[in-house]
Amino acid sequence: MTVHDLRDVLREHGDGPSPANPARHEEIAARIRRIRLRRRALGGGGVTAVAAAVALGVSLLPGSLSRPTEPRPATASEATLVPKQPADFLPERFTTSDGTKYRRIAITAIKRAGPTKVSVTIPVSGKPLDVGAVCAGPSTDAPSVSTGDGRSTSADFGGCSRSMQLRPLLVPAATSGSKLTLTFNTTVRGGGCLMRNGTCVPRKPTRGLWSLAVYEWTPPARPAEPPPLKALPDHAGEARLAETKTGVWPQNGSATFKVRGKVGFDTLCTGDLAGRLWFSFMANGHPAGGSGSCGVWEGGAFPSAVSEFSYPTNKTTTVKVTWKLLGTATNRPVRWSVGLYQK
Amino acid sequence: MADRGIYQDFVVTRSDRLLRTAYLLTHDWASAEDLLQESLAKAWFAWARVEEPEAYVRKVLVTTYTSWWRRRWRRELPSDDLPDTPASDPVSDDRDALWRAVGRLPARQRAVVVLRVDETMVKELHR
Repeated sequence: MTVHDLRDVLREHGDGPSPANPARHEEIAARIRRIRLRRRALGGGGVTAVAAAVALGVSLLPGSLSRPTEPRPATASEATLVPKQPADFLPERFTTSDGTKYRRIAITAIKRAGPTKVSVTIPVSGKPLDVGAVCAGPSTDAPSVSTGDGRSTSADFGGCSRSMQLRPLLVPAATSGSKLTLTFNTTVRGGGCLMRNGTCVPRKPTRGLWSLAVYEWTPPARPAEPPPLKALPDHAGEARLAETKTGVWPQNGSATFKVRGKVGFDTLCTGDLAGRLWFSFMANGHPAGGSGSCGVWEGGAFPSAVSEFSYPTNKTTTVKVTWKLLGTATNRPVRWSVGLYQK
Repeated sequence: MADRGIYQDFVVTRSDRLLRTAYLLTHDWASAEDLLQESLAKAWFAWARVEEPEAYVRKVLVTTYTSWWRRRWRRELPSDDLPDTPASDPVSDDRDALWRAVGRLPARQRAVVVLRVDETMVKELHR
């Protein structure tokens, strides 16, 4: 055997027919969304799964609490990755798959140049409200949303995306029947940097074009039926799926596991508000330090984000996974499952 | 600087070549597809700063692969609907043994061997 033989063997295999994958674009776009979410989740102590986002040595702006897994009415797939006018993607009306009717009640924009802050005044009817955003990037400046007194009223948007992101708008009950002024602000609030040779090199801020809207929504008259859940993968690396618990929020708000040693948990949810369902862990009645938004599997590879914990091997620890939904969700239940993985 | 507008074209035109490199590293088409997608997704975030996209993605491919090897507990799993492994031409016993021997090498060593196959790859990697 010579080096020449080795080269021939590798060429032989490398030059063989490679399988086509027509879904590659969509699957890459889904990964981009997940990486973005993990990066935003940095700072959620205890969730070691987010470490995957550090592979490129990137540390980001302070984490947000939201996930861009939202209803997608006739918007371009992120997979297209080709800029279009963002205003095209904020429709005046649309209906999500669970039958919720959305109606736009305000629209505005923050451009690449000029003010980084815009305000809109909206009527508050008492119906639930969402804020929507699409962005033509690149952009490092996702807008925050606040009321006149400066209080944040919405979960933060993720990174710049041409797919519409919807976030719940939290309005005090006393505001009903009156008007409310909202301010969208892209002023950079944190210090992101790229890690190069152990040194934090500040990121150059880049302004994108953000088109922003406020939507009022009317839930379905009866509780929608969340789609059935796909089965969680039977393995996560070398760990096997030992136990799965499922439920439907809000009827079922938690799941309890008895564990020993090193374990991992992964989650999966369905329903139009699946991305707004957040989990947190309690171990023997005490906060265990991990939380995150439920995984949503829209296609491609399973969006694995295992939360790992190490517990004593000589005694049983009771781990309780508790669910909480951001915003209002009348008649919009979310089906969830939690998988326990053990090596 | 790479324009993000060309990212899609890059994925279309270069994926096949990069997938073959990923296959030489992983010895499995499903894992290769997984590795390729993960690398392309990571590259998207650095795209605006990348001078030579293919060399960059190749670097990410190798570092991601070695990092998977190290961690073993992988966060990304191959999709159920990835294409089936295609049939390959029969190879001689010696060649088959050599191919399998490469497959048993530790990740970094395997990466070195694979990249040595194409001097161009190495040059790109060291730029």
